[in-house]
Amino acid sequence: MRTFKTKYHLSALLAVFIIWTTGGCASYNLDRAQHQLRTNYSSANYQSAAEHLEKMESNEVYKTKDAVLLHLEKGLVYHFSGNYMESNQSFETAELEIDANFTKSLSRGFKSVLLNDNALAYDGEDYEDVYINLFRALNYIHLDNYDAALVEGRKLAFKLENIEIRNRGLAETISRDDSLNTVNWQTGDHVVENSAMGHFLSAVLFAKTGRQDNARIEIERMNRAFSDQIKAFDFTPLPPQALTQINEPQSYNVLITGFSGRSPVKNQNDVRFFMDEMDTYLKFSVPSLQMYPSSVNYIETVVGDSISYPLYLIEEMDQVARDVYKVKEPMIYARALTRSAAKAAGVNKISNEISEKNENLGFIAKLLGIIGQEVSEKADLRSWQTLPGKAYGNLIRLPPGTHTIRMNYYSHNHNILYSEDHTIEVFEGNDLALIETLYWY
Amino acid sequence: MKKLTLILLVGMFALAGCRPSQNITRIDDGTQTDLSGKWNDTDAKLVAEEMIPNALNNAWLENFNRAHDKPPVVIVGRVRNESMEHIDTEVFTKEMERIFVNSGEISVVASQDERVDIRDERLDQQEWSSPETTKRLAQELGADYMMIGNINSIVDEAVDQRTLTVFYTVNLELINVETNQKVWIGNKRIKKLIERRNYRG
Repeated sequence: MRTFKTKYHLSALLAVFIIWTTGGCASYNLDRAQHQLRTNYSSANYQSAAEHLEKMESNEVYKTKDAVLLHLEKGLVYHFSGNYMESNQSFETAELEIDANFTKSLSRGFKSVLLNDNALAYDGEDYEDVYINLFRALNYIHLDNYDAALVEGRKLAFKLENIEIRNRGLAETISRDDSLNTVNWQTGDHVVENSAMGHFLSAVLFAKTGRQDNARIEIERMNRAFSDQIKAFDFTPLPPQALTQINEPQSYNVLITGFSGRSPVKNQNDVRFFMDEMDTYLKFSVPSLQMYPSSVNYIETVVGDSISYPLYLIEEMDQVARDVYKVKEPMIYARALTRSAAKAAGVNKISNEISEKNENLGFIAKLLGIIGQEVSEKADLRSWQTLPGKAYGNLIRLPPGTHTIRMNYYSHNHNILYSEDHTIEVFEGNDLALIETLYWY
Repeated sequence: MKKLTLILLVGMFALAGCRPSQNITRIDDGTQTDLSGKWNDTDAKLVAEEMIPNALNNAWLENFNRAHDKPPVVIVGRVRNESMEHIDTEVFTKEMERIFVNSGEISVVASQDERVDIRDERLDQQEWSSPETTKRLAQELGADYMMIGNINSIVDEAVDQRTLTVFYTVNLELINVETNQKVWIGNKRIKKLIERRNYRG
């Protein structure tokens, strides 16, 4: 009976060890794939980035639980490589997957308790969900399908409105429960996921299609988002004359958008300690956020050789990503610590019980347990890697005809960091031409 | 107890690893299939089923028949999608065209987009077809009425995102091309309640 018990303990530990090691290793493959994606993307080699993603998808490096992440990356890579149809398909899949992930999987939740947070489905942040529709709207404008762009504009407005309602509700609930009034729970402090760029694009689309009332509401929300950004982080307010013409659609026929910088990256921090008195080894891994401050100070558009227009900084997605992560950080840390402690306690209990019967086997069991803990504890470093850090925009009016437009990205020393030339055809009437550039530094 | 724990553990992992394999079954095209809650073939069918008889059994047709000895000529124009979903409005406008034509009571002429191809073909014939089979230019049938419309949607979502209602309203209008008079206005409303579960296995 005793031999059976020892065998049982050892088999259980071996089973868990196999699960820990196989599950832990798979997450590292995804990290490597994401790192390679950043390398390809940073050299503006979008074709190679797309090929890399397709290869990783077919090699199942991105698992079902990573479907949202995969399609967000694919959507943006295709977008900036000019494959707007493919981009729309990928973004649509990402949106559907986010929707499907609303219903949480119990089995994945159980796996995450045994393994790490990488076992959970990546369900996207609210601001990422909003950016799906923003880039889809831009895709449709590129494809000259304004009706479809407007559908995305409406979805953008709807999602942003719901985020605001949820955040306002959250702030009000916290405020009600905080009977000691320790903090002034202003709604604005929590609306980090409001998207000024999303409201800006919706307002432009509504205004251009004759829906002035909807445009007015979106302009009001855009201004509220600017105020939120100023409150939440060090956002420079727009000059008073900036973007005041949105609801006068005849006053512009070209939408210029410029993206710069990159979203933050998560790094893994491992904490290991050995508690002598309890003879217990503990390891837990938590992510930390690394910001990539953009080297771009401002962007200017030069039409022909003479007239120049500034591009206004509308949104700082990198700051939004940081603030959203900061809200979640305590929960991520607590979860990692609890899981790690549970693993250590489990290993201890099983190995001690085996040791009582057979000291050598007990030692092997402990060793396996420690290796298992070491491999399985892995911080969840997943995030939308290809998302730019800052969004700029402006609206200008050009006479009908062909125009050469140069986008200049300037450093803090007013040196040109990057230039990109575009030729656009502006037609008579109420059309909206679009120029879009990305400098990922 | 420990044995039970182990069995449970293995069971949970077996469940976690299981994925339903793809399974395809042919079903009747009239079967109601609501998978995502989005606009689908059932909604398009509901619109067609209600709007088409309404358009055919209305006073405008009787009035026209009384005044003329030929069926009215209708062109189906643009049905604007003003909803939050990418809806292919052709699904029910084509159904409408089909029933109009097959009823024999209404003549339907090609839409703006279709005309471009047909005109190209006719021009091509002038150069390449034999004289006896070449179709003449400027013999198109002018439409008496144009059908236009729109689809709107209002979406209301609960703060917890678990419940959502979508209210679609489809408006179709038949307008006299010569006088701009609206002779028929049809409307179909569809309301859906979508409830989402918090957990699955």
